[in-house]
Amino acid sequence: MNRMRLLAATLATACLAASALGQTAFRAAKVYLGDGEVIENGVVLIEDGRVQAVGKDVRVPRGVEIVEIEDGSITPGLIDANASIERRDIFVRDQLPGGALRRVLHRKFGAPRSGGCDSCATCPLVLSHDQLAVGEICPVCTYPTHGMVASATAPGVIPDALSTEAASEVVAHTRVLDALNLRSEDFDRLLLSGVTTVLAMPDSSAVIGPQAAILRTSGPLADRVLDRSAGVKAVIGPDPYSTGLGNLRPFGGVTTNRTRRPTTRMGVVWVFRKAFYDVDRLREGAPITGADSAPPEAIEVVGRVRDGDMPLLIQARSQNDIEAVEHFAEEFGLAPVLLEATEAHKSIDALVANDRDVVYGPLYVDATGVRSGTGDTSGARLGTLRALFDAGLEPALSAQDLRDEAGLDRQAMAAMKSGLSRDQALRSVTANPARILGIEDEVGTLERGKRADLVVWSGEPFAATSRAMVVAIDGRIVLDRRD
Amino acid sequence: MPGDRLLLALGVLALAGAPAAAEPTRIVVDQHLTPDGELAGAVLVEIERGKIVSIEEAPETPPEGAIAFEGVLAPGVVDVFSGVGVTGSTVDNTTSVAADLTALDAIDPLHPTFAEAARAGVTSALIGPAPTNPVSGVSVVVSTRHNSAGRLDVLNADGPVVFSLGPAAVDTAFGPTSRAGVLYTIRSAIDSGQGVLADVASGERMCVAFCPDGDDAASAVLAMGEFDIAPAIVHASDGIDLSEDFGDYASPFIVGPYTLDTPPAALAGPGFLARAGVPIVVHGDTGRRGFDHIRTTAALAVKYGLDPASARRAFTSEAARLAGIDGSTGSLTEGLRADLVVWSHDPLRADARPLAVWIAGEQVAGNSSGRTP
Repeated sequence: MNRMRLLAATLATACLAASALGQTAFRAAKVYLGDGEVIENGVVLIEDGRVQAVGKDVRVPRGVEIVEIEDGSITPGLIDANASIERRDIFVRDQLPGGALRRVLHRKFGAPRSGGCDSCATCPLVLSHDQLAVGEICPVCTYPTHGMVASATAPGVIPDALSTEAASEVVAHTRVLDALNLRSEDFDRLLLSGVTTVLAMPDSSAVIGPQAAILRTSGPLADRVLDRSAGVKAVIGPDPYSTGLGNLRPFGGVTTNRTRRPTTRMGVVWVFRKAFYDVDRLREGAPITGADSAPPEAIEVVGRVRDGDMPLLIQARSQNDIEAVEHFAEEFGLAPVLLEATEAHKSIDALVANDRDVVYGPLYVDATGVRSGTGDTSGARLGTLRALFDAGLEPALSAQDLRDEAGLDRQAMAAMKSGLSRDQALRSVTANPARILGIEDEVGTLERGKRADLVVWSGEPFAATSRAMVVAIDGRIVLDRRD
Repeated sequence: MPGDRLLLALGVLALAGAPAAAEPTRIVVDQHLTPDGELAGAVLVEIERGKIVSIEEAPETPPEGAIAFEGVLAPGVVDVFSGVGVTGSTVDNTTSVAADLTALDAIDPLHPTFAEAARAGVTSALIGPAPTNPVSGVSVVVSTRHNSAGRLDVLNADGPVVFSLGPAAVDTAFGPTSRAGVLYTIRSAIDSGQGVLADVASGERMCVAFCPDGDDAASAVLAMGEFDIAPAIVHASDGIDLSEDFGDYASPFIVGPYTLDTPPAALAGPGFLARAGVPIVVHGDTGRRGFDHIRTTAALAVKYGLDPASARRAFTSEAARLAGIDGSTGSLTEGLRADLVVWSHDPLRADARPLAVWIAGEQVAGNSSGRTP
């Protein structure tokens, strides 16, 4: 954190000066504090980015701006503890006038415009690329040119540098923050759903993946990162072999260091278990052996996970994968957070027995995206989150990659439709994820001294007709749809 | 060994015959570039033993023996990430941390582009390794004219260390295969503190990060900020967005090359960055486009909002600062090397051409009698 402060000082002096925040007040027909309490006609007074006072009779000093939505409501800013951030960039990809030119070029080259070739999507001088030899480095954008080869379809070529590090199945030493685009328009879409804090997650192509980061969805660069190493994401299930690039079927293709070995659930589980065994070998000074061995720097981080110094979050969807997580937890004495947990309703007893933290979600009727091809979605039920609450657990709800009408506020709406109380739905997207992420002293409820993250809804929170009208992060208004 | 002696002997002969050391050269030009990059009035400059010994306001009538020009006297252009003298490839793909690789080894001292550069007003050049590895190597700064011994005149063998983000640094065969992997490689390399990277970590040595995408720049600053390093950023396209977060950034942005095809939004970037307080250096991609392209790039940035003084500094004093040679050249200051160009007009003008060029006090191009046609 100290280094971040230093960075803030050097980087964004101007930004910080501009955000020398005074006082602001928010007033609405109902203020949901997030701890179950609701204040009618309440006022939230904010000073220097923190909640100064909440209540019915809070005196607002003269001259302080009051943000008010008639018949509206206020909740704490929403938290998504398992968010996948898309890397889309507002500026470069779509708004440069050169976009049309690029499309022509891509048509000419037969290369896909998006996903396939970052070179032509970002280089301001893409025209010069066709004067270079294939594979030559463009001096402007420093990308190797693809010439006439459509890079997305060329075998053995990763189309862009966005995916999880593929040099090993265990890449716990890398950080998702390094691969994120903090200016991605995905953050704007999260704001529209009222999300102010996310645990930004890597994709699920590695068995033990990069470290996740806790981020704010808006604000100056230097204030965006709350925790750059908030935990390691691991995956039990088919994703590493079905979505990982370069997985080769047995008896086919060339074996390189990028060849993804696990091609079965068994293989995934073995890679996971071996990484934990290798911790001991590394500590005893013994060499790590085996064709699938992870690099020592990754094993070192796995060691920190095993010692409990680094949180572990494991994605598991089907019942047998969830049971596998519980077995690991017992075998290695871990307390992992369970992610996605599609079939958690089938394993309620085990989850309750271990008092498991669960980040459930998303809810869906028809699976889309990466989930659709996994064969893990047929067991999804709309009532799973309610079943977890009914069993006495305090789970969080996540929209992962879903946005807009399937975004986190709509997820909470759907959960309420399936029987959650408004209070439970609110907790599942505010206080519960804050507790699971260990940031409950900073965010999650509207309390004096906490960060002033709040959403002013046009009506009741999570009602089908409600939308986020004003969103504030650290007291700064970052979304305002009042006009 | 005998070859070396022969060269030495030749060098001694060349020194003995060099006219520069004998008599001071005096030049009168009716406009000049101040160290701030502004255009100012007529000056009389005296050069002796390769250095600028005095700069003063020109008298009404030029003194006896002085060469008079109608034009603009400016420091020689410093070409960053130049293509001058580079022979073969500066790409090394056997490792992802090539900290010990130096661009000096890729330079052909007899390459004809040296003379071409000098004639175009480029008096020194920073030559870097190709940014194809997360840690790409060490850049080197040379004069475009050989020293009196006929050898490559290396102004700074310890130039900025080059880091690279973005897909060029990704190696699909041997790793790192991802952005996160590239950043990890950079961070762990700095952390290991081997060789030149120790100097980078301690802040003694400038470093440069090639950031093809705007968020590569953000990643570079966040990741290297952990070590309190502020790398110079090579980035051409979205300065507008970056200027919000890079206010008063301590190290320069290296922008360009720009052409008439460059989108206006990218061309406006340098202006936004400069107004936010970020020093600007222009990159002209001279290896591919010729040496005038440095000034074309600067001029296009001016057209879209960069102030002319910053633009002129961007290929003289700021470029020299980036190259670590600002103590010896890069501005019209007494005591510095006499690397001078007389331009026919303001160098930002498209029709400006060099009328005369001096490198270390030696005239290498142009009319030595002054009074150009």
